[in-house]
Amino acid sequence: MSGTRATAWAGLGLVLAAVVIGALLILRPSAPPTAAEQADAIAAGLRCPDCAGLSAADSPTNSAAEIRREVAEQLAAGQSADEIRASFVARYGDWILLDPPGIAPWLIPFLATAAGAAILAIWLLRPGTPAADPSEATESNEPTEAASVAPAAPPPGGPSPGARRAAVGVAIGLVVALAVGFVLPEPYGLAAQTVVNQPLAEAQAAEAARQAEIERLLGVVAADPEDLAALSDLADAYLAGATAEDLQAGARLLLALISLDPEDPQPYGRLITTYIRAADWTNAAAATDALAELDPDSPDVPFFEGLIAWQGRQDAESAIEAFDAFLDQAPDDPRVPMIRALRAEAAAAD
Amino acid sequence: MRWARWLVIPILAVPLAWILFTGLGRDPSEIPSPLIGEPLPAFSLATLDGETVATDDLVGQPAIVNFWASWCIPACVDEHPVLLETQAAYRDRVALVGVLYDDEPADAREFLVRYGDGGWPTGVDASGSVALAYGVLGPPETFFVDADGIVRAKHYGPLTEADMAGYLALIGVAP
Repeated sequence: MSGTRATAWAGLGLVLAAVVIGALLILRPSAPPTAAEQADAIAAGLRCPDCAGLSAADSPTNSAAEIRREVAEQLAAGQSADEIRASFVARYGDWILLDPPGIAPWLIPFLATAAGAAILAIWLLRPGTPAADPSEATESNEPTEAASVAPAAPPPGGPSPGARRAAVGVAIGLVVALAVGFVLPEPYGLAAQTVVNQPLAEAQAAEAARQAEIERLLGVVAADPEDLAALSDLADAYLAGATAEDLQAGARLLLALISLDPEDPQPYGRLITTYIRAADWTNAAAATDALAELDPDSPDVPFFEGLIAWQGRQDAESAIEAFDAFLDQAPDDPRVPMIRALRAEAAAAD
Repeated sequence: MRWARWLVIPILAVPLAWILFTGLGRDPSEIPSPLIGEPLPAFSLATLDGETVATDDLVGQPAIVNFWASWCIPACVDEHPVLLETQAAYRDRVALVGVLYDDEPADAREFLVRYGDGGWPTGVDASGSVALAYGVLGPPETFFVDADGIVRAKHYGPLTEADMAGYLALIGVAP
């Protein structure tokens, strides 16, 4: 039986090691953060009020943006992270905190694991019932010698040695897996942040780069308001955004480009696309008419007419007519497959 | 005493089962508001009609602060008749104030045209800072304030007539 006993103690040791490693991982120190990192860390610990399970740092909603703004404002006003968190708790209660307050909730899993291991150890190490099996009683006093005289039959009231070894093996396996999971680096370890947020972080980085590009081009345009290339790039930078303001700014710049060089049909296509994205069908149709006057043979004219007829007015008949004209005029255009699909869609509805 | 060990299982299992059953049956959004018993957070907002609505105007009489949005369907549509009736019946005894949550004023005006404009002011909370100050999770949410300016209750979700009667009694407006 001493083999089982030694394995059980080893298992207990591993559990303790896992508890210590877990505690160290939670309490490990890090470099002092910058103000932006600090604001981000505070927002990451606050729940976004109107979405399920996202932090205010990760959510694109208005209220999350307002939380981020207020956190930054309060930080700038010299308040501590705890004071800022408390100001949100005063309105939403502890619910707003993604991390539960206090250390108890963090310790419970480790304590529960340790308690489970202790119960397992007591169960495995307890002697058999003395009255039923005297040899088990002696074993508890002289464990080393008892191993050689261990009974072949399992003692009544206790599990068979095989079952004990299996139980200890499973327990050790679980504890080792838990410990390895905590020690492994991101993104494999249990300690890793949710991987779901990764695309969002990338989108936020791309958005920051776009805003920087807009700032830079605004500087260029301010220096030379008739720099067509810069105006065009600036329009593209705005149009890469998704908000109504971005689309409006992009459309204004394209209109400026058109007024600076009225003979160039190229900004028209972009302007019409912008209006269509904003679902501004009236302006899209007006711009298409202007393009038709400037460049009557352009396949863009039936292309946009068809799009506006189908998506703006659900007018399948006019849309099919325009799509057919486009397919006639520009059979090798890269947009042909898209128009074929839309034509089929309109034909099905007609 | 060997039988005593069998008591361990119910002693552990019964409280756990009770916690799970009661906990899982609760709506996670119905967290008690820490604002109850506190003075109502101050605000001053431009209204849909171009005027101003401020908490200072509410001093000295019971008030209802209702967060809503035109996109909040069907809940805000469902409770709208209750608000209209309350305004009609208690106009002189309770100040009803709307706060527009994360919405376009044009859409909100369209909502009022379609479902009825009771004439009470709706402040436009464009930045969301007022909703944040009130700990709003999502419309509709309604705060009931007594004549001393103390928040007495917060209601999550659409108000029914019975809800409204209970809350009005709580802030000292008898039928």
